[in-house]
Amino acid sequence: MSARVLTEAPPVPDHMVRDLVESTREVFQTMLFQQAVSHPARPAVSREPRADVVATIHLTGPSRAVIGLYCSEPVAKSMAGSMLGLDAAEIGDEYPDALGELANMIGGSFRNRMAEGGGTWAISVPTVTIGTGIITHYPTDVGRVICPFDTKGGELLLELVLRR
Amino acid sequence: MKFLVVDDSSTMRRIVINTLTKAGYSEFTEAGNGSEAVDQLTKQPVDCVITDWNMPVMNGLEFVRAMRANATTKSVPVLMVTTNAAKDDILEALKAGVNDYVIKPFTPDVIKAKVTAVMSK
Repeated sequence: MSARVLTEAPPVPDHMVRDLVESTREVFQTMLFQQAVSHPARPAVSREPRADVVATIHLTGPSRAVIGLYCSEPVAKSMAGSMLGLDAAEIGDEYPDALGELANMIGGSFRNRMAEGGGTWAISVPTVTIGTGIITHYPTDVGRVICPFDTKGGELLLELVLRR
Repeated sequence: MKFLVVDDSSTMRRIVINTLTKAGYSEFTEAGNGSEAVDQLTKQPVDCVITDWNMPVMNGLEFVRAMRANATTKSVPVLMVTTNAAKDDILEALKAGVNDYVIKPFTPDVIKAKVTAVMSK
């Protein structure tokens, strides 16, 4: 099946994309002691992103948003290792909790930046899904953007989903 | 000096313990929520509590209120580590009896400085 750009939805505002990128960079620098190198954000297309580990966190306030972290298992273990001060090879069952905490910190930082613009934002508990080639489906009336990052262990994709 | 580290994320407990170990501290106990932390405190005294806010069963604020209502734990310094950064959240935590507040994400230097500060009060 070919990819199809989701054009029905309103675009995600640039300032929200910038805030998500800055939140991610901040968390990587302070808690993982490494740089997350960002690449230009792009609109999401149907049936992507596809990953083996997906961490999500939901925000509710003046808008409703979902932040998703998508990566492979080796990248998830690499990030968990950086958080815990261990080599990726030493990481076992700890990585889902670490990915959930990573989503919690990125979501929390993003929420705090959004709150500076007014309104009260609530944040959910993070969830982590593990499988093979996982795709997350959303209604077509939501705005979606993908923010790619290069991390020490490989590619991490962040998706921001927004309904206004 | 003994710390009780309370967080439902084992990763965050480990990050806090790693940071304080590098700062020279060596005695820690852990709890996954406020209720477990209350149980821990009845078994063994600690010199400082570091707790998350958002946790299942008993959250950080409920836990701190329970500590402050107990004669044996009412004076133990408490540092809250959380993503909640709104001014109203911080005021609510301080009213509940939290001594100081660290917003995640944090640098190791920040958490070390805050621990030193709450211990010296």
